[in-house]
Amino acid sequence: MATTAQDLNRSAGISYQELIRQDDVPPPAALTLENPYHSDTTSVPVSRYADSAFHDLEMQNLWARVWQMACREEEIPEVGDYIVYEIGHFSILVVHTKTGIKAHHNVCRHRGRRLKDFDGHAANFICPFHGFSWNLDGSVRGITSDWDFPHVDPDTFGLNAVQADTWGGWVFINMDMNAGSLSEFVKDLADQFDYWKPQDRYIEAHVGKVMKANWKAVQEAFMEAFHVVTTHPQLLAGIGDENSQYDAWGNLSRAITPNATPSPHINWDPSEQDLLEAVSMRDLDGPDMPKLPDGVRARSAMAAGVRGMMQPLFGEDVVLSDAELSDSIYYTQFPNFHPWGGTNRIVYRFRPWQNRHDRSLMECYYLSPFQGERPPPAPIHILGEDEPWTNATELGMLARVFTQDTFNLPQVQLGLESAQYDEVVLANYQETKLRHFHDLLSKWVE
Amino acid sequence: MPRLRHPVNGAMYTLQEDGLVQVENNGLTGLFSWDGRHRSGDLTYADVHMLVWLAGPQLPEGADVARRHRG
Repeated sequence: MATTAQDLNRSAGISYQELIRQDDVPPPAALTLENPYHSDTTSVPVSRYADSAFHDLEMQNLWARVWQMACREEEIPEVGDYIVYEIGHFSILVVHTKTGIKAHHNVCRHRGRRLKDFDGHAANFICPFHGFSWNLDGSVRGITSDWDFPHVDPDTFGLNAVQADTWGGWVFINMDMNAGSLSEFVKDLADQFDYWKPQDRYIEAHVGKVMKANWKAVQEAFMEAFHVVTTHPQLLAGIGDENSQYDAWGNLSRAITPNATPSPHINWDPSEQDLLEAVSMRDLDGPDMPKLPDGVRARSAMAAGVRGMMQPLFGEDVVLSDAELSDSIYYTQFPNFHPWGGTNRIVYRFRPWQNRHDRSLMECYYLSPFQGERPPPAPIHILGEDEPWTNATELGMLARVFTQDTFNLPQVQLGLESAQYDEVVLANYQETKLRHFHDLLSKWVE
Repeated sequence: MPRLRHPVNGAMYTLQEDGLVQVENNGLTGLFSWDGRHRSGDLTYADVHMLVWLAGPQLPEGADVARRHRG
């Protein structure tokens, strides 16, 4: 321990800020920020994961009121393009209209049928039941046998409106028409990400998998590096899991886990060559790695190798620092949006699946830079409950890493459902992001 | 066949052609399935996540790359 003060306890080994001060190409300002989170929260109720009544509270007090990512602008590029965004029992149409992107509840105002069953392109929304129809902007287009509805005022019979706004190429919706602005809600996210220009990337891959666990149990497995020592032991020789830095601002939290540096959990001193081989995830009989010249750090070599591949895509005038090329920089925008910083392409989203407290949909996007004309976005590839991540070959090696996480998560849910205790205990520092998340969740739900 | 040394305890994990993993640690040897079940041998404990990594669901040849490092 570096100190005995509870809020200041840190692992042995080099801190992230010390590490990046030694880098050959220094990081952007966002990565030198530190804002440790202080909270009295040391545990959260098991019922948050295992009780359908808490799920109902979340639907009512969180999802019906909070800004949440619905899709990318590139998924609805033309007027008439729409997606069906589903969250619990709610279904929302997010549509590109002549006056911009709008959102409506996907419910016929007559007898309640969902207007659209899946994403597509339409000139208007016609209910497949009795044929009532609405324009893309949600105003009434036609009432079948209107002579029979003298009591219906078309001016007040539009589709129930939902707020829609954009940031960074992402479309967010909010079902609460009295909610504050998106720009205020994502202010801290925007402050840190404007440098990385997410609007200039495209969806190279998009995979979703139905998980047999509560959405929070799943997303929390991707909000800390604390689990690496046990769940991903093969990485330990080249990852500073316990040396991760955790911070929080407003509705945003961040973890940075350094790579090409050894874990404090191992009791031997890997050489720079060992570090480089560990981050490559090669097995002992894999192809030989290039030998590092004397005095060259693994971090520098790793960054240089990745820089050679990435620089043409980002443009020659963009400075790509060692940290942005090497480290895992993972943000959480409350409640469920997880873009990674730096040159990394990962974005996660987690949400309840089919309005169940014990099922969720985990999505992984690869949001990639490009040069020239914007490539078309990849459609979502959905994996079923029992389908392995490795069927999503577009994720590459990450699919194997997810396999290890997924080996735990259904067992976490089963354990929580039968737990003979009331509270899940959280670490002070390494589970900072979970504590920050649950503090915010308490404000919304309780 | 793929081999990995456990970074913490030094045990050697070797994937066999039959899909089981041979684990050698402190002079003991055991055979395990990918989900952690002990099949034979005097070593009866293995790190299940090393087993999942080596012998769990795998990517087809050519897809097993660290895509975060690709453009």
